[in-house]
Amino acid sequence: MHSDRMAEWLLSRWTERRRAAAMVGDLLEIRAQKGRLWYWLALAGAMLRLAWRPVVATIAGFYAGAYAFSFFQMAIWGVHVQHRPTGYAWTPVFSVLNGCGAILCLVLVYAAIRYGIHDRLSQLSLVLAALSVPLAWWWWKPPVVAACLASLAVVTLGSLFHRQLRRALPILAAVLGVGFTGGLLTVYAIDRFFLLMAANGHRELLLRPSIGWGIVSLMLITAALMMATCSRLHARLLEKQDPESGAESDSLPAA
Amino acid sequence: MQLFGNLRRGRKKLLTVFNQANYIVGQMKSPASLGEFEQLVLLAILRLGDDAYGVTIRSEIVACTGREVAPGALYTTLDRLEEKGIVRSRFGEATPQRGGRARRFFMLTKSGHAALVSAQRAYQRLMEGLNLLGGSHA
Repeated sequence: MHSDRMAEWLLSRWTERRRAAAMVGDLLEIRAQKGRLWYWLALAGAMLRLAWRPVVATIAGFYAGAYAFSFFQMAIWGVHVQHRPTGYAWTPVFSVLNGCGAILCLVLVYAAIRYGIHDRLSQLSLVLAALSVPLAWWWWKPPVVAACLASLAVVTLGSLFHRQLRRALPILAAVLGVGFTGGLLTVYAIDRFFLLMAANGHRELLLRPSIGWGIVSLMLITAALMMATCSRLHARLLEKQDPESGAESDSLPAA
Repeated sequence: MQLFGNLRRGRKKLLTVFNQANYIVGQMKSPASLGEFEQLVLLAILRLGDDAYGVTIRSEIVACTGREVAPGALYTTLDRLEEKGIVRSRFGEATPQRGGRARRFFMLTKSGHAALVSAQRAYQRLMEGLNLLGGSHA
C-alpha cells in the first residue's frame, strides 16, 4: 500500500530503514484490531519520539555555536585590541582558536542533547571546549596557554588508549574539518558576492535584507553539514554494531 | 634504531597496563540501572523467549499489567536498551500480513540479564518485612 510505504519513508528519516520497516510491520499487525485512526496516531507518536532529540539538538547546537563564536571573538579580539603585543602576526592562530572553540561548543551541545552526557563524544567535546575557554580568555598569559596546551595534549593522547574515546577523536576531527571548510567558503562567498555590504556597511544591509539572509543561510548550511557529519560518523563509529554481525557470545539462551 | 625499539617496547608496556586497568574497572562496574518501564520490557522479553518482537512485547505488557503501551515509547525504549547493550535484536522472515516487512526479534544479553537480576534483587530487599502481597513476603 502506498500509505504504508509513506509511513516507512517518514520513519526512516529518523531511524535505520530496516528498523523503520519492522516498526511499520508491527503497526500494520495491530491496525487490524485497533483501526486506521489508531495506526496513524501511533505512527505520529513514534515519529515524535524518534525525532524530538535530533530536532532540538540541531536547533540548540546552532544557537550554541553562534553564541560561542561571538563569545570567543569578544574574548580574543577584545583583549587583542587592548594589548596587541605583536601586531597582527597571530591573526590566523586566533581565527583558528575562535573557530575551534565555536565548533567544539556546537558539537558539545548537539551531542549532549542527542546522545546524552554519558556519550564519549559529548564527554570529549566537553573537556576540549572547557580547555578552549581559558585559552581564549587568557591567551596573553603564557602559563595559562602552556597549561591548556599541555592538558590538550594529555587528553588527546589519553583518548588514544580508550576504545570509545579513540573512536570519538576522528568524529571531532571530521566535524572541525567540515566546519572550517564551510566557514572559509562562507567568508569567501561574503567577500565575492556581498561586496555591496563591504562598500556601504550596515546601511546596505538594512536596505537589502537579502544580503543578511544569504549570510545566515550559508552559516546554517555549514552548521547543518557539521551536525550531519557528526550524526553519520557517530552512528558508524560509536553506536552498537549490527547484532547480526556482532558478538554472539553475549546472548542468553532462549527462555 | 635502538631508540625506536625502546619506544615500541614502552608503548607496548603502557598499552598492557591500560588494558589491565580497563579490565579491572570493567569487572568492578555495577550492572546498568534500569527504569520501571525498562524492567517491564525486559521481563516481557524473557517471558516471550524466541517470539519477542514489538507486537508480542506490547501485548504481553498489556496482558500482565493492564497498562496501555504507546508503540513509540516501546520502540525508543528498545532502541535505548540495545544501545546500552542490554538487549540484542535480529530480523526475522518477511511476512505478507505485515506488507512484506520483517519482524525484529529481541533477546536479553548477559549484561541485560545481570542488570535485571540486580534490579529485582533490590526490589526484593525493599519488600522484605512488608506485608504488601498478603503475607507471602512477610
